[in-house]
Amino acid sequence: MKKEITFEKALARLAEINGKLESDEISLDESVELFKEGLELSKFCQKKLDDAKLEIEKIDI
Amino acid sequence: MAGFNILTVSQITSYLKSYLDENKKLSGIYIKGEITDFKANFYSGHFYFSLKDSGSEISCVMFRNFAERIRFMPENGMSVIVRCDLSVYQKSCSCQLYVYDIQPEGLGAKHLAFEQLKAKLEAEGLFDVSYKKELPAYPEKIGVITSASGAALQDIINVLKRRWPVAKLVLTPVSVQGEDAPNQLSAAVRKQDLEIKPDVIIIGRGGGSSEDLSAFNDENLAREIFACRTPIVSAVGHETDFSICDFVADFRAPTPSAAAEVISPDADSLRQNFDDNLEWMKDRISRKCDEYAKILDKFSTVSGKNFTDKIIGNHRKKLDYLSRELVFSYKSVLASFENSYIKTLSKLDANNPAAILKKSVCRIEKGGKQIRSSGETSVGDNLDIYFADGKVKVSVFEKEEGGISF
Repeated sequence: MKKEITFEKALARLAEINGKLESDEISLDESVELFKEGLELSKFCQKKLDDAKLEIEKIDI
Repeated sequence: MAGFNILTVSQITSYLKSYLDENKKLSGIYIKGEITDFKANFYSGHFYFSLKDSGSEISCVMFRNFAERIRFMPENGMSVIVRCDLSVYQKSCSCQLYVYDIQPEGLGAKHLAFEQLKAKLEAEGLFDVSYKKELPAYPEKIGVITSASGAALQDIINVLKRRWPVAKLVLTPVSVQGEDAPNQLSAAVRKQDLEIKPDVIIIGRGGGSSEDLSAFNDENLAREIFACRTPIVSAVGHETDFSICDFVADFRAPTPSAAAEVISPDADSLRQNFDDNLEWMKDRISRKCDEYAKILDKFSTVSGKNFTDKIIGNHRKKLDYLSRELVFSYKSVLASFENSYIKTLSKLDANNPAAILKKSVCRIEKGGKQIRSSGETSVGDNLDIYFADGKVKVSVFEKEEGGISF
Protein backbone atom coordinates (compact mmCIF):
# COMPACT_ATOMS: atom_id res chain seq x y z
CA MET A 1 0.00 0.00 0.00
CA LYS A 2 1.19 3.45 -0.84
CA LYS A 3 2.38 5.41 2.11
CA GLU A 4 0.95 8.73 0.99
CA ILE A 5 -2.64 7.52 1.13
CA THR A 6 -4.71 9.79 3.35
CA PHE A 7 -7.20 8.74 5.97
CA GLU A 8 -10.01 10.16 3.89
CA LYS A 9 -8.91 8.27 0.76
CA ALA A 10 -8.55 5.05 2.73
CA LEU A 11 -12.11 5.44 4.00
CA ALA A 12 -13.41 6.18 0.51
CA ARG A 13 -11.70 3.04 -0.84
CA LEU A 14 -13.14 1.00 2.04
CA ALA A 15 -16.61 2.22 1.16
CA GLU A 16 -15.96 1.18 -2.46
CA ILE A 17 -14.81 -2.27 -1.35
CA ASN A 18 -17.91 -2.66 0.80
CA GLY A 19 -20.07 -1.80 -2.17
CA LYS A 20 -18.37 -4.46 -4.30
CA LEU A 21 -18.53 -7.07 -1.57
CA GLU A 22 -22.22 -6.40 -1.24
CA SER A 23 -22.91 -7.15 -4.90
CA ASP A 24 -23.45 -10.78 -5.90
CA GLU A 25 -21.65 -10.40 -9.18
CA ILE A 26 -18.10 -10.89 -8.01
CA SER A 27 -16.35 -14.21 -7.69
CA LEU A 28 -15.07 -15.73 -4.47
CA ASP A 29 -11.49 -15.03 -5.57
CA GLU A 30 -12.28 -11.39 -6.17
CA SER A 31 -14.05 -11.03 -2.85
CA VAL A 32 -11.14 -12.59 -1.01
CA GLU A 33 -8.78 -10.12 -2.72
CA LEU A 34 -11.09 -7.23 -1.79
CA PHE A 35 -11.30 -8.49 1.76
CA LYS A 36 -7.50 -8.55 1.99
CA GLU A 37 -7.31 -4.99 0.71
CA GLY A 38 -10.08 -3.88 3.07
CA LEU A 39 -8.31 -5.50 5.98
CA GLU A 40 -5.10 -3.68 5.11
CA LEU A 41 -6.90 -0.35 4.81
CA SER A 42 -8.65 -0.89 8.14
CA LYS A 43 -5.33 -1.72 9.78
CA PHE A 44 -3.78 1.38 8.23
CA CYS A 45 -6.56 3.61 9.55
CA GLN A 46 -6.62 1.98 13.00
CA LYS A 47 -2.86 2.37 13.24
CA LYS A 48 -3.14 5.98 12.20
CA LEU A 49 -5.68 6.52 14.98
CA ASP A 50 -3.59 4.62 17.52
CA ASP A 51 -0.30 6.31 16.70
CA ALA A 52 -1.76 9.77 16.31
CA LYS A 53 -0.53 12.53 18.54
CA LEU A 54 -1.90 15.95 17.77
CA GLU A 55 0.85 17.91 16.09
CA ILE A 56 0.84 21.67 16.66
CA GLU A 57 2.67 24.24 14.61
CA LYS A 58 2.72 28.01 14.94
CA ILE A 59 3.07 30.23 11.88
CA ASP A 60 3.05 34.01 12.34
CA ILE A 61 1.19 36.23 9.94
CA MET B 1 -68.08 72.43 49.97
CA ALA B 2 -71.40 71.60 48.51
CA GLY B 3 -71.61 71.98 44.75
CA PHE B 4 -68.03 70.84 44.32
CA ASN B 5 -67.25 67.55 42.56
CA ILE B 6 -65.33 65.72 45.26
CA LEU B 7 -63.04 62.84 44.23
CA THR B 8 -61.38 60.19 46.32
CA VAL B 9 -57.59 59.76 46.31
CA SER B 10 -58.01 56.54 44.44
CA GLN B 11 -60.21 58.22 41.87
CA ILE B 12 -57.75 61.01 41.11
CA THR B 13 -54.88 58.55 41.02
CA SER B 14 -56.81 56.32 38.70
CA TYR B 15 -57.71 59.32 36.55
CA LEU B 16 -54.08 60.38 36.38
CA LYS B 17 -53.02 56.85 35.45
CA SER B 18 -55.52 56.48 32.63
CA TYR B 19 -54.70 60.01 31.43
CA LEU B 20 -51.05 59.08 31.14
CA ASP B 21 -51.68 55.59 29.76
CA GLU B 22 -53.83 56.94 26.97
CA ASN B 23 -51.11 59.31 25.87
CA LYS B 24 -49.26 57.46 23.11
CA LYS B 25 -46.34 59.83 23.42
CA LEU B 26 -45.60 58.34 26.82
CA SER B 27 -45.41 54.68 25.71
CA GLY B 28 -42.49 53.00 24.00
CA ILE B 29 -40.24 55.93 24.81
CA TYR B 30 -36.44 55.97 25.19
CA ILE B 31 -35.04 57.62 28.30
CA LYS B 32 -31.41 58.30 28.94
CA GLY B 33 -30.00 58.47 32.46
CA GLU B 34 -27.71 57.08 35.12
CA ILE B 35 -28.75 54.09 37.20
CA THR B 36 -29.05 54.62 40.94
CA ASP B 37 -30.55 52.66 43.88
CA PHE B 38 -30.46 49.46 41.78
CA LYS B 39 -32.08 46.41 43.42
CA ALA B 40 -32.73 43.05 41.90
CA ASN B 41 -35.44 41.33 43.93
CA PHE B 42 -34.16 37.86 44.62
CA TYR B 43 -37.63 36.32 45.00
CA SER B 44 -39.66 38.05 42.33
CA GLY B 45 -36.84 38.55 39.80
CA HIS B 46 -37.99 42.13 39.18
CA PHE B 47 -35.50 45.01 38.97
CA TYR B 48 -36.11 48.23 40.90
CA PHE B 49 -33.96 51.28 40.35
CA SER B 50 -34.02 54.99 39.57
CA LEU B 51 -32.72 56.94 36.62
CA LYS B 52 -31.28 60.35 37.26
CA ASP B 53 -29.50 63.18 35.58
CA SER B 54 -28.22 66.44 36.97
CA GLY B 55 -31.74 67.84 37.38
CA SER B 56 -34.18 65.04 38.16
CA GLU B 57 -34.68 61.48 39.25
CA ILE B 58 -37.44 59.03 38.32
CA SER B 59 -38.10 55.55 39.71
CA CYS B 60 -38.16 52.56 37.40
CA VAL B 61 -39.39 49.01 37.55
CA MET B 62 -38.42 46.18 35.20
CA PHE B 63 -40.51 43.06 35.61
CA ARG B 64 -38.94 39.63 35.59
CA ASN B 65 -40.07 38.59 32.08
CA PHE B 66 -38.11 41.58 30.69
CA ALA B 67 -35.33 41.57 33.27
CA GLU B 68 -34.25 38.04 32.50
CA ARG B 69 -33.73 38.87 28.84
CA ILE B 70 -30.97 41.42 29.26
CA ARG B 71 -27.44 40.06 28.91
CA PHE B 72 -25.65 42.15 31.51
CA MET B 73 -26.28 43.06 35.11
CA PRO B 74 -27.12 46.77 35.50
CA GLU B 75 -25.05 48.60 38.09
CA ASN B 76 -25.31 51.87 39.95
CA GLY B 77 -23.57 54.65 38.08
CA MET B 78 -24.03 52.98 34.67
CA SER B 79 -25.22 55.32 31.93
CA VAL B 80 -28.02 53.62 30.09
CA ILE B 81 -30.85 54.11 27.67
CA VAL B 82 -34.07 52.37 28.62
CA ARG B 83 -37.11 51.67 26.51
CA CYS B 84 -40.22 52.05 28.65
CA ASP B 85 -43.75 53.33 29.24
CA LEU B 86 -44.47 56.14 31.68
CA SER B 87 -47.26 55.27 34.10
CA VAL B 88 -48.45 55.65 37.67
CA TYR B 89 -47.98 53.34 40.62
CA GLN B 90 -51.41 53.78 42.13
CA LYS B 91 -50.59 52.81 45.70
CA SER B 92 -48.32 55.82 46.19
CA CYS B 93 -49.51 57.76 43.16
CA SER B 94 -45.91 57.80 42.07
CA CYS B 95 -45.02 58.40 38.50
CA GLN B 96 -42.58 55.75 37.27
CA LEU B 97 -41.04 54.10 34.22
CA TYR B 98 -42.03 50.55 33.31
CA VAL B 99 -38.87 49.33 31.56
CA TYR B 100 -38.70 46.64 28.83
CA ASP B 101 -35.10 46.95 27.75
CA ILE B 102 -31.84 48.45 28.96
CA GLN B 103 -28.85 49.25 26.77
CA PRO B 104 -25.63 50.60 28.18
CA GLU B 105 -25.16 53.98 26.58
CA GLY B 106 -22.35 54.14 24.05
CA LEU B 107 -22.90 50.49 23.22
CA GLY B 108 -26.18 51.67 21.78
CA ALA B 109 -24.34 53.38 18.98
CA LYS B 110 -22.13 50.32 18.45
CA HIS B 111 -25.15 48.12 18.40
CA LEU B 112 -26.75 50.29 15.78
CA ALA B 113 -23.58 50.13 13.67
CA PHE B 114 -23.61 46.35 14.03
CA GLU B 115 -27.19 46.11 12.86
CA GLN B 116 -26.52 48.42 9.94
CA LEU B 117 -23.45 46.47 8.78
CA LYS B 118 -25.30 43.20 9.19
CA ALA B 119 -28.17 44.46 7.04
CA LYS B 120 -25.75 45.76 4.38
CA LEU B 121 -23.76 42.52 4.08
CA GLU B 122 -26.90 40.46 4.14
CA ALA B 123 -28.32 42.51 1.26
CA GLU B 124 -25.08 41.90 -0.66
CA GLY B 125 -25.57 38.17 -0.19
CA LEU B 126 -22.54 37.50 2.01
CA PHE B 127 -24.62 35.39 4.37
CA ASP B 128 -26.38 33.36 1.66
CA VAL B 129 -26.63 29.66 2.42
CA SER B 130 -25.70 28.93 -1.20
CA TYR B 131 -22.16 30.20 -0.51
CA LYS B 132 -21.65 28.04 2.57
CA LYS B 133 -18.95 25.44 1.94
CA GLU B 134 -19.19 21.93 3.29
CA LEU B 135 -16.83 21.03 6.12
CA PRO B 136 -14.41 18.15 5.44
CA ALA B 137 -15.23 14.91 7.23
CA TYR B 138 -11.65 13.95 8.09
CA PRO B 139 -9.47 17.07 8.11
CA GLU B 140 -5.76 16.29 8.22
CA LYS B 141 -4.66 19.90 8.63
CA ILE B 142 -6.64 22.32 10.77
CA GLY B 143 -5.92 26.05 10.71
CA VAL B 144 -6.67 27.99 13.88
CA ILE B 145 -6.82 31.78 14.09
CA THR B 146 -6.94 33.01 17.67
CA SER B 147 -4.78 34.38 20.45
CA ALA B 148 -1.80 32.19 21.33
CA SER B 149 -2.43 32.78 25.02
CA GLY B 150 -6.22 32.52 25.09
CA ALA B 151 -8.45 29.86 26.58
CA ALA B 152 -9.99 29.29 23.15
CA LEU B 153 -6.77 27.72 21.78
CA GLN B 154 -6.45 25.45 24.79
CA ASP B 155 -10.09 24.37 24.45
CA ILE B 156 -9.59 23.54 20.77
CA ILE B 157 -6.38 21.60 21.48
CA ASN B 158 -8.06 19.59 24.24
CA VAL B 159 -10.98 18.57 22.06
CA LEU B 160 -8.75 17.62 19.11
CA LYS B 161 -6.38 15.60 21.31
CA ARG B 162 -9.33 13.59 22.54
CA ARG B 163 -11.35 13.22 19.36
CA TRP B 164 -9.06 13.59 16.36
CA PRO B 165 -5.34 13.51 17.14
CA VAL B 166 -4.71 12.40 13.54
CA ALA B 167 -4.83 16.04 12.53
CA LYS B 168 -2.13 18.64 12.51
CA LEU B 169 -3.06 22.00 13.99
CA VAL B 170 -1.51 25.12 12.50
CA LEU B 171 -2.00 28.24 14.59
CA THR B 172 -1.65 31.77 13.29
CA PRO B 173 -1.50 33.77 16.51
CA VAL B 174 -3.31 37.13 16.48
CA SER B 175 -4.61 39.76 18.85
CA VAL B 176 -8.31 39.12 19.19
CA GLN B 177 -9.12 42.46 20.76
CA GLY B 178 -7.80 45.96 20.49
CA GLU B 179 -7.38 48.41 17.68
CA ASP B 180 -5.20 46.22 15.43
CA ALA B 181 -7.19 43.02 15.99
CA PRO B 182 -9.42 43.30 12.86
CA ASN B 183 -6.37 43.78 10.61
CA GLN B 184 -4.51 40.89 12.18
CA LEU B 185 -7.54 38.62 11.91
CA SER B 186 -7.98 39.53 8.23
CA ALA B 187 -4.29 38.94 7.50
CA ALA B 188 -4.42 35.59 9.29
CA VAL B 189 -7.41 34.45 7.21
CA ARG B 190 -5.46 35.31 4.04
CA LYS B 191 -2.31 33.62 5.31
CA GLN B 192 -4.17 30.44 6.21
CA ASP B 193 -6.21 30.32 3.01
CA LEU B 194 -3.44 31.14 0.54
CA GLU B 195 -0.25 29.82 2.17
CA ILE B 196 -0.94 27.30 4.92
CA LYS B 197 -3.86 25.76 3.02
CA PRO B 198 -5.46 23.66 5.74
CA ASP B 199 -8.56 21.51 5.17
CA VAL B 200 -10.60 23.73 7.47
CA ILE B 201 -10.09 26.93 9.51
CA ILE B 202 -11.39 27.84 12.96
CA ILE B 203 -11.48 31.56 13.73
CA GLY B 204 -12.54 32.76 17.15
CA ARG B 205 -11.92 33.62 20.75
CA GLY B 206 -13.35 32.92 24.17
CA GLY B 207 -16.04 34.93 25.90
CA GLY B 208 -15.69 38.59 26.72
CA SER B 209 -17.62 41.82 26.85
CA SER B 210 -19.27 42.95 23.66
CA GLU B 211 -16.50 45.53 23.38
CA ASP B 212 -13.97 42.66 23.53
CA LEU B 213 -15.73 40.80 20.75
CA SER B 214 -16.08 43.81 18.49
CA ALA B 215 -13.05 42.94 16.33
CA PHE B 216 -15.16 40.13 14.91
CA ASN B 217 -17.72 42.65 13.66
CA ASP B 218 -15.28 44.30 11.29
CA GLU B 219 -16.45 44.75 7.70
CA ASN B 220 -13.09 43.99 6.10
CA LEU B 221 -12.74 40.82 8.13
CA ALA B 222 -16.22 39.79 7.00
CA ARG B 223 -15.21 40.27 3.36
CA GLU B 224 -11.95 38.37 3.90
CA ILE B 225 -13.87 35.45 5.37
CA PHE B 226 -16.34 35.54 2.50
CA ALA B 227 -13.48 35.41 -0.02
CA CYS B 228 -11.73 32.56 1.83
CA ARG B 229 -11.78 29.36 -0.25
CA THR B 230 -11.10 27.09 2.69
CA PRO B 231 -14.18 26.14 4.73
CA ILE B 232 -14.17 28.34 7.83
CA VAL B 233 -15.86 27.89 11.20
CA SER B 234 -16.50 30.89 13.41
CA ALA B 235 -16.51 30.54 17.19
CA VAL B 236 -16.72 33.89 18.90
CA GLY B 237 -17.44 34.20 22.61
CA HIS B 238 -20.30 32.28 24.14
CA GLU B 239 -23.51 30.73 22.89
CA THR B 240 -25.40 34.03 23.24
CA ASP B 241 -22.86 36.18 21.41
CA PHE B 242 -23.38 36.74 17.72
CA SER B 243 -20.82 38.46 15.53
CA ILE B 244 -20.74 39.47 11.85
CA CYS B 245 -17.99 36.88 11.51
CA ASP B 246 -20.50 34.21 12.62
CA PHE B 247 -22.97 35.15 9.92
CA VAL B 248 -20.49 35.14 7.05
CA ALA B 249 -18.52 32.02 8.07
CA ASP B 250 -19.46 28.64 6.58
CA PHE B 251 -20.45 27.40 9.99
CA ARG B 252 -21.11 29.15 13.29
CA ALA B 253 -20.10 27.25 16.41
CA PRO B 254 -21.34 28.57 19.76
CA THR B 255 -17.91 28.21 21.40
CA PRO B 256 -14.32 27.33 20.38
CA SER B 257 -14.70 23.84 21.93
CA ALA B 258 -17.87 23.31 19.93
CA ALA B 259 -16.02 24.40 16.76
CA ALA B 260 -13.36 21.75 17.38
CA GLU B 261 -16.08 19.14 17.91
CA VAL B 262 -17.90 20.13 14.74
CA ILE B 263 -14.86 19.78 12.49
CA SER B 264 -13.53 16.53 13.96
CA PRO B 265 -14.73 12.97 13.63
CA ASP B 266 -14.66 10.96 16.83
CA ALA B 267 -11.69 8.58 16.77
CA ASP B 268 -13.29 6.16 19.25
CA SER B 269 -16.46 5.68 17.27
CA LEU B 270 -14.34 5.38 14.10
CA ARG B 271 -12.38 2.55 15.72
CA GLN B 272 -15.65 0.84 16.49
CA ASN B 273 -16.76 1.37 12.90
CA PHE B 274 -13.61 -0.31 11.59
CA ASP B 275 -14.18 -3.30 13.82
CA ASP B 276 -17.82 -3.54 12.74
CA ASN B 277 -16.81 -3.22 9.11
CA LEU B 278 -14.24 -6.01 9.36
CA GLU B 279 -16.90 -8.26 10.85
CA TRP B 280 -19.25 -7.34 8.05
CA MET B 281 -16.63 -8.11 5.38
CA LYS B 282 -15.88 -11.48 6.98
CA ASP B 283 -19.57 -12.21 6.98
CA ARG B 284 -19.84 -11.41 3.27
CA ILE B 285 -16.95 -13.75 2.46
CA SER B 286 -18.32 -16.61 4.48
CA ARG B 287 -21.72 -16.16 2.85
CA LYS B 288 -20.05 -16.33 -0.55
CA CYS B 289 -18.27 -19.51 0.54
CA ASP B 290 -21.62 -20.95 1.61
CA GLU B 291 -23.05 -20.19 -1.81
CA TYR B 292 -20.18 -22.01 -3.51
CA ALA B 293 -20.52 -24.92 -1.13
CA LYS B 294 -24.18 -25.20 -2.08
CA ILE B 295 -23.31 -25.29 -5.77
CA LEU B 296 -20.77 -28.06 -5.14
CA ASP B 297 -23.33 -29.99 -3.12
CA LYS B 298 -25.73 -29.77 -6.01
CA PHE B 299 -23.16 -31.30 -8.37
CA SER B 300 -22.37 -34.22 -6.15
CA THR B 301 -26.03 -35.10 -5.53
CA VAL B 302 -26.86 -34.97 -9.23
CA SER B 303 -23.97 -37.19 -10.29
CA GLY B 304 -23.68 -39.26 -7.19
CA LYS B 305 -20.38 -40.91 -6.49
CA ASN B 306 -19.92 -41.66 -10.18
CA PHE B 307 -19.34 -38.00 -10.79
CA THR B 308 -15.81 -38.47 -12.14
CA ASP B 309 -16.72 -41.64 -14.02
CA LYS B 310 -19.41 -39.73 -15.71
CA ILE B 311 -17.04 -37.00 -16.73
CA ILE B 312 -14.57 -39.54 -18.08
CA GLY B 313 -17.42 -41.38 -19.78
CA ASN B 314 -18.42 -38.20 -21.49
CA HIS B 315 -14.91 -37.62 -22.67
CA ARG B 316 -14.65 -41.14 -24.01
CA LYS B 317 -17.82 -40.74 -26.01
CA LYS B 318 -16.47 -37.60 -27.47
CA LEU B 319 -13.21 -39.31 -28.31
CA ASP B 320 -15.04 -42.16 -30.06
CA TYR B 321 -17.06 -39.76 -32.04
CA LEU B 322 -13.97 -37.83 -33.09
CA SER B 323 -12.15 -41.03 -34.11
CA ARG B 324 -15.05 -42.06 -36.29
CA GLU B 325 -15.04 -38.69 -37.89
CA LEU B 326 -11.34 -39.01 -38.52
CA VAL B 327 -11.58 -42.44 -40.17
CA PHE B 328 -14.41 -41.28 -42.33
CA SER B 329 -12.62 -38.22 -43.56
CA TYR B 330 -9.42 -40.26 -44.15
CA LYS B 331 -11.33 -42.62 -46.32
CA SER B 332 -12.88 -39.90 -48.35
CA VAL B 333 -9.51 -38.21 -48.81
CA LEU B 334 -8.03 -41.47 -49.90
CA ALA B 335 -10.86 -42.12 -52.33
CA SER B 336 -10.49 -38.79 -54.00
CA PHE B 337 -6.74 -39.28 -54.13
CA GLU B 338 -7.10 -42.65 -55.83
CA ASN B 339 -9.46 -41.16 -58.28
CA SER B 340 -7.11 -38.41 -59.34
CA TYR B 341 -4.17 -40.86 -59.38
CA ILE B 342 -5.87 -43.08 -61.90
CA LYS B 343 -6.69 -40.10 -64.06
CA THR B 344 -3.08 -38.98 -63.96
CA LEU B 345 -1.85 -42.45 -64.80
CA SER B 346 -4.03 -42.68 -67.85
CA LYS B 347 -2.80 -39.27 -68.96
CA LEU B 348 0.78 -40.42 -68.58
CA ASP B 349 -0.11 -43.54 -70.55
CA ALA B 350 -1.15 -41.43 -73.51
CA ASN B 351 2.44 -40.19 -73.88
CA ASN B 352 4.05 -43.60 -73.49
CA PRO B 353 5.91 -44.51 -76.83
CA ALA B 354 4.65 -48.04 -76.61
CA ALA B 355 1.11 -46.78 -76.46
CA ILE B 356 1.69 -44.42 -79.37
CA LEU B 357 2.92 -47.30 -81.50
CA LYS B 358 -0.28 -49.12 -80.63
CA LYS B 359 -2.22 -46.35 -82.36
CA SER B 360 0.07 -45.62 -85.37
CA VAL B 361 1.34 -48.32 -87.75
CA CYS B 362 5.04 -47.83 -87.25
CA ARG B 363 7.98 -45.53 -86.65
CA ILE B 364 10.80 -45.02 -89.08
CA GLU B 365 14.31 -44.11 -88.02
CA LYS B 366 17.41 -43.32 -89.97
CA GLY B 367 20.68 -43.61 -88.06
CA GLY B 368 18.68 -43.73 -84.74
CA LYS B 369 16.66 -40.59 -85.57
CA GLN B 370 12.97 -40.55 -86.42
CA ILE B 371 12.25 -39.29 -89.92
CA ARG B 372 8.92 -38.05 -91.19
CA SER B 373 9.45 -37.21 -94.91
CA SER B 374 10.77 -38.95 -97.97
CA GLY B 375 13.07 -35.97 -98.54
CA GLU B 376 15.13 -37.17 -95.55
CA THR B 377 16.04 -40.35 -97.35
CA SER B 378 18.20 -41.19 -100.34
CA VAL B 379 18.46 -44.34 -102.38
CA GLY B 380 20.75 -46.81 -100.61
CA ASP B 381 19.96 -45.55 -97.02
CA ASN B 382 19.49 -48.18 -94.32
CA LEU B 383 16.37 -47.48 -92.25
CA ASP B 384 14.94 -49.09 -89.10
CA ILE B 385 11.17 -49.60 -89.01
CA TYR B 386 9.63 -50.18 -85.62
CA PHE B 387 6.27 -51.91 -85.44
CA ALA B 388 4.27 -52.48 -82.34
CA ASP B 389 5.40 -56.07 -82.26
CA GLY B 390 8.93 -55.87 -83.67
CA LYS B 391 11.61 -54.16 -85.75
CA VAL B 392 12.81 -54.65 -89.37
CA LYS B 393 15.78 -53.27 -91.17
CA VAL B 394 15.29 -52.12 -94.79
CA SER B 395 17.25 -50.43 -97.57
CA VAL B 396 15.89 -47.67 -99.86
CA PHE B 397 16.13 -48.79 -103.46
CA GLU B 398 13.86 -46.20 -105.20
CA LYS B 399 12.37 -42.76 -104.46
CA GLU B 400 9.23 -41.03 -105.79
CA GLU B 401 8.63 -37.33 -105.11
CA GLY B 402 5.11 -35.87 -104.38
CA GLY B 403 2.38 -36.49 -101.82
CA ILE B 404 0.67 -39.84 -101.53
CA SER B 405 -3.06 -40.03 -101.17
CA PHE B 406 -4.70 -43.05 -99.53
